[in-house]
Amino acid sequence: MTLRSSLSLVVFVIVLGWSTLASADAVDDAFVEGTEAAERNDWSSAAASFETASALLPQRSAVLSYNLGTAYANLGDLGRSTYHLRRATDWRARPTTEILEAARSNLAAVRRRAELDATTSGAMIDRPQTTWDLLVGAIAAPWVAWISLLSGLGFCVALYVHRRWLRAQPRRAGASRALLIVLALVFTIPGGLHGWSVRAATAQPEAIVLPAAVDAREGPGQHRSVSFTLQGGAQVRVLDRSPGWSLVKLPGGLTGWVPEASVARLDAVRAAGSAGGSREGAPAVGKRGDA
Amino acid sequence: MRSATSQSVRTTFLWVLFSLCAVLLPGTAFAKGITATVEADETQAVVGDVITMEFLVSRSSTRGSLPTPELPQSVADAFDVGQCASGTSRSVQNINGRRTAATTRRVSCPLTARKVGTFKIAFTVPDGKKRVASNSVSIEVIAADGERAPLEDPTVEAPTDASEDVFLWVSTNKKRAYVGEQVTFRLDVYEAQRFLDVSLRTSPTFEGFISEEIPLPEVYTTMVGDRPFRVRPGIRRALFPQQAGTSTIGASELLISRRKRRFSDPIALEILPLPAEGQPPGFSANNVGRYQISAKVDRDEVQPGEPFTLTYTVAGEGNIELLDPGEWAVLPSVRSYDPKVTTERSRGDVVGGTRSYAFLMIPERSGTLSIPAHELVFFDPAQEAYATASSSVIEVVVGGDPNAIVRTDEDEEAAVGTVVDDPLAPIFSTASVPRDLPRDRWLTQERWTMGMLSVPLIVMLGLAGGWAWRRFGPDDAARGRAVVRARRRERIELAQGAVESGDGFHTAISALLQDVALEVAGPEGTGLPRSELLRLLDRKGVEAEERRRLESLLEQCDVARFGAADGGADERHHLLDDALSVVRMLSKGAA
Repeated sequence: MTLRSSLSLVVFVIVLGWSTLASADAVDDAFVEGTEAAERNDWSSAAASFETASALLPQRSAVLSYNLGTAYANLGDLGRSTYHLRRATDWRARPTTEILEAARSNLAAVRRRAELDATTSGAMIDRPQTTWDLLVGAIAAPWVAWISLLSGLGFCVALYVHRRWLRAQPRRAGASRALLIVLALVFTIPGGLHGWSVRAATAQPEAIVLPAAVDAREGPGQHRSVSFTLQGGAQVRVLDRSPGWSLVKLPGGLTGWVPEASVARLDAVRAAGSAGGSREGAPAVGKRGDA
Repeated sequence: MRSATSQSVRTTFLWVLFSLCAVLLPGTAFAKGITATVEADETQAVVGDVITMEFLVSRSSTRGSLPTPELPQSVADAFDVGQCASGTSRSVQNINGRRTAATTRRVSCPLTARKVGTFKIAFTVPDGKKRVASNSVSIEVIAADGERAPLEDPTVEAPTDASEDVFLWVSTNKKRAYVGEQVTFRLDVYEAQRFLDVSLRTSPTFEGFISEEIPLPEVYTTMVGDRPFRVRPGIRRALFPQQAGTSTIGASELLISRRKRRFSDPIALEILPLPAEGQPPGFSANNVGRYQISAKVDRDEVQPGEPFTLTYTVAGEGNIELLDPGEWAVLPSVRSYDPKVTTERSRGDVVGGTRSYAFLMIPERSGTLSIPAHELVFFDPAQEAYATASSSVIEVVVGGDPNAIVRTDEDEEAAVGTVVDDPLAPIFSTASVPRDLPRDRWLTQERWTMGMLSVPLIVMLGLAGGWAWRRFGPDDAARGRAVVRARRRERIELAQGAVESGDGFHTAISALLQDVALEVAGPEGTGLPRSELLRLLDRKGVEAEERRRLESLLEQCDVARFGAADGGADERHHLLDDALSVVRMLSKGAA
């Protein structure tokens, strides 16, 4: 390797490392700027700074999502507040127990406000979570996947052992048959339910309505008649897409087409706000230096 | 002979003639018979109602004409006979080779009942020299229940001129009204006879009025002069005049059977302005009628920040959908939202109903919240004076610490744009955003799916493999031979390992030879002493030389095991080679 090649390699490594460090610093700077603005009760600037940090960060961050959601809650932007607080509670954002508790508390406050607004305006909002929703959520958890899969593999092993050695021994055969039945049930029932819930979540991803109110129409287009109005912060499922429009469904079954930018999917790695979503009906959020 | 033949021909001819007469004569008699029938679509009617009567004359033949039925005088006395329609139909049927024919003359007449009583209607038709009478139908005609429909307003002017069979009648319940006061307009079609094609060609105009449709009554019968008329209600409107002066309801035009026309006169109404005396400032001209107002809350004990609903309900008569309820009271330390307004119209000639204003209210402070009475001012045209309806005062107890204030007015001003009222958890202040990328889940969705699908696959493959092994695998004899071979290999290995040391060598060789001998001898060789075993091998066809070598080797082993002549390693090598040679020979022979 010549001296010139070695120097080029060293320069390349330094430039690469510097750009990463610079990006990291910009995220921290924006984050600190946001927290300072929030301490001054300048929630517009805080939200803008947190949005900047979120746009620069290529991954989920529970603390960033929580702060962003809380800033929007203080601004009265219930849709974005709900969206970011929900992202803060996502396990992929690795929330600490403190963040999780605070996010749930703020989510409850935002939810109460959204329900109140929906009552006064006549807009539609998803019904509060029920035990059934919690059950469905629990079924979709990874531990159910592990249990069902291990039960299936255990069933294979137990079946082999049963047929090879235990079939001729009546006392042990009874116990092994019971074990086989239990493993088969655990494999089929929780496994089937887990597959169903994961498939539903994949085919119909959850999303949050961002603007304060969105008209859901009978078809994709502004000329189509309005079926109902969705409250900002309402949780919906995205059933279908058409250029610029999404077909959404409330848990009660009510469906309508809304502008694509008015709903943000919860499973997206990047937060919707940083992608420049619509602010229709929401209080204006000041940019950097507004305050 | 000839005489007998002619007699026979004459007899045959007479029989044929008799048969023809027997068959044809009744048919001819039936063909001459005429039947007369009368039918009615109703057997009971009110004076003025129209009944459709059908007079039928029929004959079982398609030839000739049928007489026209003659209506009896009793029909003309009790009913007005409208324009009758007549027609003749012929039918021929061929059922199972038998041909039947019929001719029917049908006369259909609308009869309008004029007199009260029970009338038997029948008619006669000539049939040759005699007359055939029809059946009779009894029609009971009862008196009209009053001269007006029960729903009609007695103040409405009624027609008196009965000179035309059909005419249009428009009227209002009053000729003079205040601005905003209800005037009921009605348009009716009066028919002395049934006219099938009557339509309103020109509808009346209601310029200067707010017009509300009100329910139409059913068709009814009434007397105009001494003639009964069916009244078909066409239009019912509640009119609310919007400006003082003379307002005119435009004329209407009725088209009868696309040829005749009937016109109504326009109606001029004198509309009075609302009196200035006693009129409150900003009074809405739509608040004319008679109203009451009430207030209620859905709960009278709440916590600060807990919403409750305050509902004002206005009930009464008037154009309630345009009612101006006035300014609602603003309660201190209570946030309220625009009301949800619902209206329920009452069904009837007089427009009215209830209109509710539901306010969502959120008290901010503890204590007793007093909701003042709301006053609704309206003009009562019946009293020709302004009146005030008032709701009652309502008190709501707002619980919690009476000294605690959820939000002061100063807070309210400071918190412009701060919409979420519940206390929010503070943000987290850290020097940097954690960047540890979360580990990817090992059990991804794809892996989980593959794993779940592989479980039944493994089970099925295992079961299929087991079945295939049982179906195509070795039988008991083969497995037994395999066991023997394995045991033989084991003994040979043991003997080879013990050649140098001699420990267990002869035992292994003896057992090996014994096993081979038993394998050749078969099951019957088991348990036999050596001499018997050798004889059995002889019977099984083993050569004498082989038997001799086998016996020799076994004896050498016995000597070595039980005697003192163990020999050296070389001798054991020779013994092993000999034993293996014998084993190969015996095994070849057994195979």
